[in-house]
Amino acid sequence: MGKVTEDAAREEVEMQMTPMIDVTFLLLIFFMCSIKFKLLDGKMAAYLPRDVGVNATPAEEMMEKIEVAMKLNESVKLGFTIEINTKKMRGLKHFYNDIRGFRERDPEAKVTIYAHKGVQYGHVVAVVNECLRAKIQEVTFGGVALDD
Amino acid sequence: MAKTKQMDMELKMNMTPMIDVVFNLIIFFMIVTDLTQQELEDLVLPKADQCQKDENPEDKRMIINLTRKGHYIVRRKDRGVVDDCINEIRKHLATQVQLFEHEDDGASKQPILIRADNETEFKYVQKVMQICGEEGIKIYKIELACSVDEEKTDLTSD
Repeated sequence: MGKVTEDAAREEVEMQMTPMIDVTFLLLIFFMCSIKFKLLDGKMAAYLPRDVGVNATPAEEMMEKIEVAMKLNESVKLGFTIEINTKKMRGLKHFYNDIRGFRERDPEAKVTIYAHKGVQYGHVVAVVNECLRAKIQEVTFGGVALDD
Repeated sequence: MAKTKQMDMELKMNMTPMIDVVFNLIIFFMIVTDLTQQELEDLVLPKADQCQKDENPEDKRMIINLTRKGHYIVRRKDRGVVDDCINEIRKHLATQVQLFEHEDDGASKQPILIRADNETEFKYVQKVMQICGEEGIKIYKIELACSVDEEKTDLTSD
C-alpha cells in the first residue's frame, strides 16, 4: 500500500512539456517569418539640385529643361494638377505621354519637380513613378519650396 | 523489476537544454526584429509600381522618417514638427554623413532614404531636402520610400 502511494506521488511531479514546446516552436516560427515581411519597402532614386547658388551652371551649358509644377486641386479626382513647362496636363496618363515624348526626343532628358503648397508626398511619388515609367534617367527636385 | 526501472530511466529525455536553446532563439529574434525596425517608422507609404524593392539594405544608412503631420522621428522618438527641429536634423545629418564616403566635391556617395507618410505635406520633405544640400552635409542623392505595388497602376482612372 505504501509503495503504491510513493509511485503515485512520483508520477504527479512530472510536468507535461509537449504543449509548451509546441507553443514555443510556434512563437519561434512566427518571429522568423515576421522578420522578412516588414523589410519589403520600395524606393525610388532621385536627386537634389547641385546648381543652386554659387554652384549655378551657366545658362548656355544647360540642357532643355522639363519643369513639372504640381499644384493642389481638390476638385479633381487626382487631388492635384500637373503642368509641364506651364502646359496643363489632364491627368497622369496625359503627363506620362508628354514626358515619354520628351524622353524619345532626348534620351538624357531631366525632369525637375516643383511641388506647390499643400501637395502631399503621395502625389509627388505618383509623379516620380510616371517619370520612371517613361524611363527618365534623372528626376530632380526644385530646391526652394514654392508657395502660391 | 529492477531492470524495468532502469529502462524507464534511460528512455527519459532531458528537455531542459533544448528549451533553453529555443527560448534563447526566440529572445534573439525578438531583439533583432526590433533593431531592424528601429530606423523604419511604421508609416503608410504611397504605392508605386516602378520602384525598386528595398532588398538587402546596408547595415548603416541615412534615413529620415516624417509622419503624416510632418513630425520628424528618430529611432521611434518623436522630435516634433520639422520646422521646430531644423537644427537637430542638421546636426543629425552632419554627423551621419561623416560615416560614408564622399566624392571629390565633398558630396556624399551614399543616398539618404526619405520615408514620409502618403499624406505628409511635401513642404516638410522639401525642408529636409534643403538641409541635405547645405554646406557640410551635401547629400544630393535621395531615395523616396514607397510601398511596392505589384499590380500595375490604372492610368486611365484619373
